[in-house]
Amino acid sequence: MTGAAKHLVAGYATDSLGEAERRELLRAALDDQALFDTLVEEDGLRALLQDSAARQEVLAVLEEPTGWERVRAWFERPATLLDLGAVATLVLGALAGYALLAIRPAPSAHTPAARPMGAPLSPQHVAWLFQLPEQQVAPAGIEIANRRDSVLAPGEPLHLRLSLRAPARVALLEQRADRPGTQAWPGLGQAPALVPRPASGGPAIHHVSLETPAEEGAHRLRLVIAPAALDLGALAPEDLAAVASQLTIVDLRYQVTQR
Amino acid sequence: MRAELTFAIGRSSWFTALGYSPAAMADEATLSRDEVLGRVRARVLAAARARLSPADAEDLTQEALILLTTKYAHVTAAEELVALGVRIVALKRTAFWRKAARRQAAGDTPVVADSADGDPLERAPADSPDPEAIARARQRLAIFVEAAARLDGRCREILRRKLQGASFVEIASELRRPVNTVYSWDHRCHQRLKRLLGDRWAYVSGEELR
Repeated sequence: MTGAAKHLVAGYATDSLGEAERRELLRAALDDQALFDTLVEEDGLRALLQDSAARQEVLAVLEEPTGWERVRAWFERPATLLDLGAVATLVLGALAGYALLAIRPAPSAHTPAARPMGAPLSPQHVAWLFQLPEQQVAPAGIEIANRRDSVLAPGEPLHLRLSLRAPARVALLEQRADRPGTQAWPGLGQAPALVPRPASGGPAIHHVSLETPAEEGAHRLRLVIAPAALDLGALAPEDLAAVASQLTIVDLRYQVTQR
Repeated sequence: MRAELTFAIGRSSWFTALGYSPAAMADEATLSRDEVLGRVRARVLAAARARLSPADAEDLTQEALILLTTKYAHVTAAEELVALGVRIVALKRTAFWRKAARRQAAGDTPVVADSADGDPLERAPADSPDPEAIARARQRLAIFVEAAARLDGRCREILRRKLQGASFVEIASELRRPVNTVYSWDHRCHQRLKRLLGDRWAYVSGEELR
């Protein structure tokens, strides 16, 4: 069967051939058995479509828009106030959702519960810890939250943000001007806090709120981080030197000035 | 019966596209009716043998030739004789299958109403009072409608325009495409439609009865 004749077969079934096309197709079928057989196979379809009622029924179906055509037509029609309202609502909803997600810190970054555990630090422990130089055994940081400068007024709330690799035991020491150091967090008499590993597996973030001292001058906060298994308060002061290399110590200095 | 047939052969691209050599064109331009009937007989016999037993195929061919040489003796154009041959084979072949099916259902007892006999072109299914034929026609229409509804895009558009009566030249003009492109599209769409029609179409068309 030649390609050109084959292409005319579909037109034969629907009676769409012009006189010349029909003549050429049937003349070709005179000497082409495959084409003749194809025409015989098409006869049932041709007979069906010759019935005008059947043809109309098929046409009615073909004139119904398909699902894709309905969608396209919907987009091609002029926009209405309802459409604009729906679009505006969607945009506002998306913005509100984005704002909520952006403002709220990721819950996984926070440590759910940090509580004192073990033996509390004695003044000797604190004094010894202040003698150590700053060192980073594990990544850790301390900063004043939501402030760019480190100059504060006396008695001003001091919001601190601690970040560290957990689990770990953590204590925040404070040295006001030239006075001896004390434990600022957890409160005096309490053991260092055991910070569990966050569910996200990332760094543990803790917020601690203190108050700046009434005295003007330079002050220092010292973040001390020990491995979770190391209970510093349980060690005798003379044994502390042996574990010094396991401690992470980070200082934060700030100025208190009367404004 | 040697009415000379003459065909108005234009030197259109279709002849070369159909694979006709100038010698073959000259040969066909002067075919006698008997020569055309001889070729039609060969086509009818081969088409019948493809689906019927050799004896039934011979019977069908004989009946077709009798009709063409007696009742349709006035038809001289080769293409019209081919068209009649196609139609007679299609209808008689289906009638043979149905007759065989009825015989089988009746336990091989003779069937009184023999629908395979006579001129099938006078018993178009649409005019037939036979409830079975009407039911079959409705079933075929339902299958076709279901398949057509699943066509989309270009295929749906071409079939719609064809059923509205547009020729290929008109469709090509409306779509602003060469007519040969529309032929190719239509051929592919027809193949798709046949796939959508599936086996159920063959069954209700009688082809599964053989």
